This record gives sequence, C-alpha cells and structure tokens, in this order.
Amino acid sequence: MNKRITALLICIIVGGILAVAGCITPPEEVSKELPQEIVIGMGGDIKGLEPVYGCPWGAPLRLIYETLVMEDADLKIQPLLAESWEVSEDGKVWTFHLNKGIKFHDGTPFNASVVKFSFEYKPAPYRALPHYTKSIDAIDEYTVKFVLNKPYAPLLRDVSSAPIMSPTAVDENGEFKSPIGTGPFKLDKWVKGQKIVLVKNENYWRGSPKLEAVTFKIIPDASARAMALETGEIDLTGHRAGRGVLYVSDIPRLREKPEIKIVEGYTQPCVNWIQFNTEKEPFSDLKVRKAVYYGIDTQKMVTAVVGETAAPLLQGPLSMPSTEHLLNRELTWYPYNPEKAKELLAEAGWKDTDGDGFRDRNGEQLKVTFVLSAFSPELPKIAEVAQAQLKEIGMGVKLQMVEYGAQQMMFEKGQYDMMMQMGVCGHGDPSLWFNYFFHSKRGVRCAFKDEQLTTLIDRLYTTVDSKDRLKVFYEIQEIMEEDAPGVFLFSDPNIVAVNKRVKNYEVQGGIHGAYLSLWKVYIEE
Amino acid sequence: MNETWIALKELRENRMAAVGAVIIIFLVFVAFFAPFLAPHNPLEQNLEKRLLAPNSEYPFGTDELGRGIFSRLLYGTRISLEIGVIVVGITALLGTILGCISGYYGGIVDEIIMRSVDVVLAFPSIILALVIAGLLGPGVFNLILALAVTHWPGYTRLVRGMTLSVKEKEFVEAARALRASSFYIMRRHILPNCINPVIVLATLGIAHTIIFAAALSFLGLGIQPPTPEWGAMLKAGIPYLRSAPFLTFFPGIMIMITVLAFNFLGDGLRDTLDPRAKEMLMMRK
Repeated sequence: MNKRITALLICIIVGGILAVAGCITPPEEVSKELPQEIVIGMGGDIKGLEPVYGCPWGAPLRLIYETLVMEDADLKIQPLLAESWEVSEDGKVWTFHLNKGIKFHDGTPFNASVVKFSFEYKPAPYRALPHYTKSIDAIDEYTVKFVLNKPYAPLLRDVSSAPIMSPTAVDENGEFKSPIGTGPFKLDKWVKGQKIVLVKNENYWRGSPKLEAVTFKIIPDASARAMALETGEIDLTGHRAGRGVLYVSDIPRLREKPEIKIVEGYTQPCVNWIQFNTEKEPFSDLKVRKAVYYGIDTQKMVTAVVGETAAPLLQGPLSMPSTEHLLNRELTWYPYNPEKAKELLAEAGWKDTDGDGFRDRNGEQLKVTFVLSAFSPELPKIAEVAQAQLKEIGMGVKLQMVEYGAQQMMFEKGQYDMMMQMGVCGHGDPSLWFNYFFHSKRGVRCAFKDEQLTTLIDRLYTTVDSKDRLKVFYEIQEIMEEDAPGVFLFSDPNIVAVNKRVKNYEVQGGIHGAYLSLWKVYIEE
Repeated sequence: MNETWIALKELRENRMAAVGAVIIIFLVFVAFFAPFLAPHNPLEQNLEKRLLAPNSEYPFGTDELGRGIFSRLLYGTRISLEIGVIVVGITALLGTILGCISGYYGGIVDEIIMRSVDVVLAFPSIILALVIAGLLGPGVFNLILALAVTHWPGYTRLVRGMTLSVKEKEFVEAARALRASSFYIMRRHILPNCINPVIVLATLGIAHTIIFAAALSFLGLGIQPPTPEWGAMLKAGIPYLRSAPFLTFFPGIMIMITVLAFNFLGDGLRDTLDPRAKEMLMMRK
C-alpha cells in the first residue's frame, strides 16, 4: 500500500518537473517571415457593433469606424476624415471640409451627406452633439456645416469620439445591420466573450495597412493578461480605456523583460477622487471636509499604491500633465498637514472626550462610511490607506465595498458619507468630467449642488474663446478649492505594454488612443 | 462518562485524529493569544516597507500596504475560528432541533420542515450564500447569516433520520407508557442517541465553514478590509502573485492546515463515535 503511494508521489513530482521544464525550454526557432498579425489582450468584451459616441468599451470599433478629427498623443486635435475646419466668430457655426475620395468598406463613397446621416442616426449615446444643435447641413459634396443655437466649445472634442458609419450599415427601417466604416480594418468575426477578429481593409484611404489581421482576445484577469504578454500569446495590452488595464505590480517586472516595451501615454483627464456627501452630517460642514483633505497624504498614498503609473493631484483636479495649461497656480489647496486637520475638527466641535481615539460630539462618534467598488485593484488599497490616515486625525472610517451598480444606487439614495469616484473620459477636455460630477442639473453623480459652479460649467460649454475659457477654468478651480467637495487623488495614465516585435507603434490621445496607430504598425523581429 | 473516556482513548490511538486535534488546540491557543504572539499591529500600515520578502523582522514578509503578514495571519486565526464555531453552533443547534421535531412528530410538521430543507438544498449552496451576502451587503454578521442559512439542512436531515429509528425503540415506548411528555422524551431519550453523528458532522462542518467563509471574503462579500481575514488576504495578494508570492502563499497554507486539521479530527471522531462505520472498518481488517 505504502509503496504504491510512494510510487504515485514520485510519478506526480517527476511529471510536474517535466511539465515545468517544458514551459521553460525556449520555443523552437520560427522562420524569419513573421505573420503580419497582432493579438491584443482585453479585459472585457464589446457590447455591440453599432458605433456609439465616446463609449469606453468600444475600442476595437475604432479600427472599423473613423472620426472626422482625432486627438493626438498630446491631446491636440488633428484632422482625420475631415482635412480642415473653421468656426464662426460666435462659435455657433462649425464647417468641416472633408477628405475626398474616401470609400467605406463596401465601396459606398464617403461624403457630406454620410456625415449628416451619421450624426443624425440616433440620439445619445449614438449622437455626440449638444441638444441645442439647430441643423447639420451638407453644403456641397465635401463640406458639412453644424449650426447650433448657442456656442459649444468642446465640439471638436465631441466630434473626435463620434464614429462615422456608412448609410448601408442600417436596413430600410433604420435598424443597425452590419459594421461598415472607413477604417483600416474590417470585421471578420466576433465570438462573443472570446475574441474579435478584424482583417485589413486593402483599400484604406491612408494606404493599405501592413497588418493582415488584428485579434482582440478577451482575458478578464489582469495577471493572466500580463502573463500572456510574457509568453507571446498576445502582443499588446494595458490601455485602461481600451479595457486592458495592467496591475501596477506587474509593470516593473514587464519593464525588465527584454522583449517587452512599456509605452506611456498622456494622462486621462478623469480624476480618481473621494467624493463627500455634502448633503448630510458630518461632511455638510466645510471644516470637516477641509480637515479630511489636510489629513490625507496624497503624495505618499498614490506613490505607495499606484506607484509610478499615476500622477498625484496635489493642486486639485486639473493638476495633471494633460491639463497643466488649465491649472490655476495661485491656489494652494490642502497639502498634508495632520495638525491643521485636527485643529479644524476641533473647531467644528469634534473632540475626543472619551479617549478611545475617535472624536465625538454630543455623544455621537465621528465615524463615516466610505463606499467603493473594486473597479480597479488599486481603489480598495487607496481606501485602506485613507482609512488608516484618517484614523490618525481621529476619524473612524468604515469601508463598504459594493458592486459597481450597487454603488450608483447608494449614490442616488445618499447612503454614503464618502464615495470613491473614478471614470474614463470620452475625450481630452475636462468639461465632460466637471459636467458629470458637478453640474447640479445634468450631473449624473452630482453631490455638490452649487449654483455658481453650475453656471460656470455651462459657461465652459458656451465660451469658445480659449482665453475667456481659461478664466472660467480658473474660477471653477477657485470654487473647488474653497468648497472642497472631495479629495482629488490621482489620474490614470495610459500605460501600454507591447512586444518589441511590434514596430511603429505609438499611443495616441483620446479614449481609444491605444489602437489608433495600428494601421501603420508592422511585425518584425 | 465511561463511554466518553473510551471514545477519547480510541481517538488518541487514531493518529490522524490526534494530529488534527493537536493542530486545532494549537490554533485555538494562537487565536486566544494573538495580541501577545503577534510582533506587529496587524492594521498598522507602513508604506515605506511594502512588499518585503520574509525577513527577521517580518517572518512572513509584508503586504502591499506594509503590514506584517505573520501578525495578520495570527489575528486571522481568530476570525476564521470564530466564524467556524459560531456558524456551526447556530446551524447544528437549529438543525438538530428541527430534525428532532420533524422526525418525532411526523405528519404535516415533518412535511413543512423537510420540504424547506429540500428547497434550501435545491440551490447550490455557494450561489445561495452569494445571493444573501450580495443582497444584505458585506460584513461579518451578514456573512454568518449567509453561511447559517445554507448550512442547517444537513443536520436536520441527519437528526430526523436518527429520530425516526430511535423513536420506535422499546425504551421510548416505555417512557411513553409512563406518560412522559414529548419534550421529555426528546430531551432524555432521542437527542442523546443522535448526538454522536451530529458531533462528527459539526467537526467536519467547521472545516467546510472556514473554507466557505474564506471563499466569500475572497469574492469580496465577506469580511471587509482592513480586517485580516485569510480569504480576503488571498484576494488582496492576487495582483502580486508573480512579484510577491508570499502574499498569497501563507494565507493559503493557513487555510489548508486549518481545514485539514478539522477534517482529520472529524474523520477520527466518526471512526470512534459512529459504530456502523467502525464495524465496517473491522470487517475490512
């Protein structure tokens, strides 16, 4: 009996060693002629093939559909389907001159009436333009004019993430049929939950792509994606907005791999921050909000948890590299100062009378609920550090980790004191982010309803002149600093890890910037 | 008393069970004296000392926020054992009472109780626990509730079956002839005759509960951070699986040892307490 077990054990051990050895032995030499194909690792599937304005999940679609303009690596607007454009003095009339001779995948010519069709296809989320758009007119075959009732400053940004599709992509009832765009790649097949395969569009107007095929492979686990990159199963992954986020902890290891290159892009103009529930105690009190801001050591927290991949926001939501030109440098914000934090809490009436380490007032302890979802693995860590740091100033924090949908519900019901907020922005202009979190009427997650701020955000949209607009940005930052509606922590950069066989690759701006350079990429040892 | 002694003696001769018992006693000791044994505060973060490999100051290394893994594991023993014992205590008590009532009275009472057992058993227990924990939100209390709701039917079934056979015995009939109340008969005659298999099931149940609780915490529906719970520690270590494997290795080992110890003891108890299993063993020999 015993002998048999021993024999079995030996078999298992030897088998295991052989299996491991099999993994370690280098793969056989492949021929120098490499197939011109690239495999990209993604965390989640797309939700459909229909072009949707600025959608975070639709990255692969951006190789099928193109936009009139695009954001480059520095988030500047560059021409794409439109070769040039002009805007009237009052910011109400935008005219786009289109490139000539472009054809869709099925041969349908690209022209002004197609642009009109695409922009009028369906209301949001399919349509980018503001609700006060008066008309979209095709002036001649290659000129299209957008006429608005009010000026609209971020129009170019919106257009940069509004995909153009062929009228033949829909049936006679206007229902979506098949994905037909002008992009460098065409859809070959989409195996739901597994992969999306695109093949090259030989007639691409900027020249036939060198890659024969692009495969987006869905690997939900970030560690598994990093490993797949190391084994050569995939060639590229990592872009946050392209659903390929890498674990921060994997990046230093990938950097050391000789066959892998880390490409760093611009920072997303979206902020990871802790939102206060300003509508109820204790955060309805400005002093408590400021105390928390002083009590959190953002620099130390972000360096420790998010490491080299993120920029700490020490001077408010616009103090990240991509929006530095909008930063109001006169504001001091709240550099880490626990003593000041304690003073402010004491001023607000919160004192530790029973000596248990937590402050109290009128017999009520200073304990708050911090709601978050594990959207990325760093956020719960951030919350734990905040919890420990706030304990130092005598504030008890109870973490409540919920699923993403539940978090939105708790937000609507006000069942939180602090809430972790993050986001992926559709384009490079911060107006989108301000609108989402601070516009008292249109904001989806507005916990800080302030009339002045709302007016200013409206003005962000209607002020076209960049100097005047900068002033509005300055004023918004002043209000944010004064009222401290939350603690602004860090912004995500776009880090892409790519196999060195992939040549000519660069990260471009915009929500799907990681994939926009694939049309000129090729594979070479 | 005599019987218990015999059982204990037999148990001591069962080597596996003895090993299990020793480990469990050790774990209970650790859980009890965690504050004196742990070299560091399990909640204290030290952001300068993140992800240190095991060294003399931190025997098992530090986690992603610079907390000593060894100290966290020691405190984690408390939580895991606590949850195991509380959940098994609740479920065994509830299950036994219901099973006894069900078996003794029969008829409509039996139908109601046993059909609700069927309903609970019809769901895969992990899914049911996930739904409960998901609906009520994460937390220790909800975790215990979710585990209790999914784990009582086993005891009910077992005790009902035992009761059905015991209640036909002559001594029960004798008690009935003496006009003993139903409650008295159940307490003095039926329950003592069912208790041995319940003890076996409960010991194995602790192992199952601990691993179940760790699984729920691993999925984010159990114990909330920063409480050092083994399952939650495992989960937190996943991003570092390649760069700092000690983050997941030690909690995994702890879960394994604990579960194994309870399983050894449970198996040993079954051999000594369950006569039928013993007979079968004899026959094999």
